[in-house]
Amino acid sequence: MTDFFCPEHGPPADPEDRFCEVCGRNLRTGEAAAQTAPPLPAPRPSTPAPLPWLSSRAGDGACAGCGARVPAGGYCDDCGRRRAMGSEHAELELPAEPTGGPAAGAIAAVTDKARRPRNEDAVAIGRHGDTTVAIVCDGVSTSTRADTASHAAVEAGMHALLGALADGADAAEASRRGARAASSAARGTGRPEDGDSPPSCTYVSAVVTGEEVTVGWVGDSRAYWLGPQERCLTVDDSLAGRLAAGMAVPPGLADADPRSRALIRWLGVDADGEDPQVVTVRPAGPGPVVVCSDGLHYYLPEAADMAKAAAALGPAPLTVAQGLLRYALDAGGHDNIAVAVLPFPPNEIGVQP
Amino acid sequence: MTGQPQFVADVDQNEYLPAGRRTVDAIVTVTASGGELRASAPALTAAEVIMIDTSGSMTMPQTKIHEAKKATAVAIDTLRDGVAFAVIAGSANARMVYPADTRMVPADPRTRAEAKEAVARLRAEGGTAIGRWLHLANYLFAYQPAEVKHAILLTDGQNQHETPQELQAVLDQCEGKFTCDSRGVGADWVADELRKVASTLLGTADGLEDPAELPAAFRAMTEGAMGKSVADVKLRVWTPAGATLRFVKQVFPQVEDLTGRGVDVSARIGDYPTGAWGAESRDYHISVEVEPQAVGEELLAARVSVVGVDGPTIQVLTERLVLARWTDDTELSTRINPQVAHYTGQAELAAAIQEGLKARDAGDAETATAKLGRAVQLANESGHTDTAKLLARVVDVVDAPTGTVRLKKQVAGVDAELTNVRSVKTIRVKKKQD
Ligand SMILES: [Zn+2]
Ligand SMILES: [Zn+2]
Repeated sequence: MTDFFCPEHGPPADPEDRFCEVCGRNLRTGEAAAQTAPPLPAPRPSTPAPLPWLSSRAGDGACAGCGARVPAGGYCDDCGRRRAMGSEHAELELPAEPTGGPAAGAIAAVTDKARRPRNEDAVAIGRHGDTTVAIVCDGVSTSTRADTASHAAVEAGMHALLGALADGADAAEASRRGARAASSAARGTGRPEDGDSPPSCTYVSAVVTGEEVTVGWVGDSRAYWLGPQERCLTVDDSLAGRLAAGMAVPPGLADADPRSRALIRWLGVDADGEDPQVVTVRPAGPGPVVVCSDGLHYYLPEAADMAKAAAALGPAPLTVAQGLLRYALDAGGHDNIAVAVLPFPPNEIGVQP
Repeated sequence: MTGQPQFVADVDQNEYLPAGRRTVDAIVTVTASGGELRASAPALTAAEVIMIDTSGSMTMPQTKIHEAKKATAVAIDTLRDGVAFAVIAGSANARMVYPADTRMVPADPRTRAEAKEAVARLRAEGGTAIGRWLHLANYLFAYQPAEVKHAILLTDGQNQHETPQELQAVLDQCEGKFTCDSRGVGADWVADELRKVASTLLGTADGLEDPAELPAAFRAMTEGAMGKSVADVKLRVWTPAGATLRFVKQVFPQVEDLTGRGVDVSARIGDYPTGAWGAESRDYHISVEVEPQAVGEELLAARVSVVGVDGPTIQVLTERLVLARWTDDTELSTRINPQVAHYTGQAELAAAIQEGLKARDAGDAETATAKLGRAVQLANESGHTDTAKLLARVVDVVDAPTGTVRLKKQVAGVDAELTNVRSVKTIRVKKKQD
């Protein structure tokens, strides 16, 4: 049967496919996919139970122009205004699970649009067994509909990363699979009419197990280890970031300003499609992992300062996340803020070192 | 509609507007692709009426009626088996040539042979009343269930034996019932009349300089009608509350203002007729005036869909969004979209030619020189060489880049009519080479 094809993207790769792999259109009924959600990969048969995770995507809500009900990321059918994909402010918490066997402690994340008109940062938190995961994506503000890229990426990344853990992949491999899924989801939000600024975003994930913390990233959103010997675990994908970390000048950037903080890697239609950088550390003792966008680390770039601020806020992860968000808002809040807090090891009650 | 014809739409626009700006322009290119159309869609049922001018002037010279008969025979031979057809002889009245009574018959070897014999016996006499011919064609089509209804109209003269109001009244009755391509032959046909027929009945209009071109032209028109695989396609345009749709124009392959032809589907949505489609590509210019938003805000200025209508069934074949984003980055907001600029120029070119020729006919040499000079300049700028050549028949071009021209003292009537009837034909902008 090859009778079914998408009017915009042609026949599916597999004739049995029921949905267009690009836009999610139902190929049997011709119905377009809801504009809110990019199609997530179908759950694998090996992961029957839904994996517990939360994201900061907004639900249906009132149009800012006329009050009509509009899905997040959609255009108002009455006045044409687009509703942002992201919540102006969201607080996410997966509470501790005091079950028999390995129990996971609470993890939390908050995000706020701060002084920007809309929130293009996206954050998701989830867990598999006693492994906890957080992902932050920061929509590149000069790109079109950056909030669609960041939300598509954060959710596809979380879905794939948890799926990989459930399949038995180690944290580094799961981090790579998550970033790859996020990359193709961000790519899928591009439209032919976007021209030279298709939706794009950064990506950073943190996977916390009882022994290790693994981070994977593309772009300049960061992950910090704030326990003993605190440090920033990521290296910004900018020329300045690479040089500060003692890395070589990336090819093609020999003539660029060495102080440039402009992104040299991101996710989206015009991205390089390469794997994320992945780093694994084995902390010497308990402490918090903070994953955040530059809306926060612009004000607290040094790990020592971030650790001091977090220590004053603990122990509950949600309280720490809220406090760090408040810090950035009070410092000026010039950009969207997304911050997730994960205790190491995951079954710690709080994050105090 | 059976099968899945493949329609693709593309939007070309600069969605960035400076603060306070209200007007959003976009070019929407709609392409129906051939391979898919033929592979998956069965041929549509079709009906064809050929109207051939048999007024007395068709014998001056004799080659006109001779070539017209030959052309009609070619068109008859081009009809697929089973296509309902009829031939009408037009003068101050309309009369059936084939079949003899007022109906249509399916094409087969016998009816084709009989029809060509009847056409061969035609004699030219009498005047011209195009409205009567169209009225008879409309009557014949009314009894046909065919999905594609197409007519060919050939005339050599001015519509003298009825008033413009009478013709308009018939066109109003025919609108939406069938499509009609019209051709003028000889020196006395009137471009405005043929364009009006083509415009109302969603067809093409042209003049032929030599009667010997008739058979090829009839074959092309008939083949075009036989190649249609989607019968009734509309451009559906949604605009937001508070917006005004300034215009909806087809701008390629010819300029056709559809603005006044919209049918409201709802308070926000209008449907604009585009007729039947084969494997082809057309461009539309959509201009919307919206409420300006704050810098940084984004608005859906229009949602443009191509919909297929089959009785009560409406199928969205493809859809594109026209956006507006307000920015204080002047580098972005002052960027001129080459497609929008090009088609704005092509539409102005058509209008300049029509207005210039009208002024020239009215004896207003000053306006005629200014308008036709502007036309020469626009044709030159856009590389529209066909139109530039036609203009050179009615004006002496002193300097094309500045549009400096002198009206020619002696112009053959047919040159002015050809220039007029072809004024609406556009060319596409040459794609930029990277
Ligand atoms: Zn698709
Ligand atoms: Zn609204």
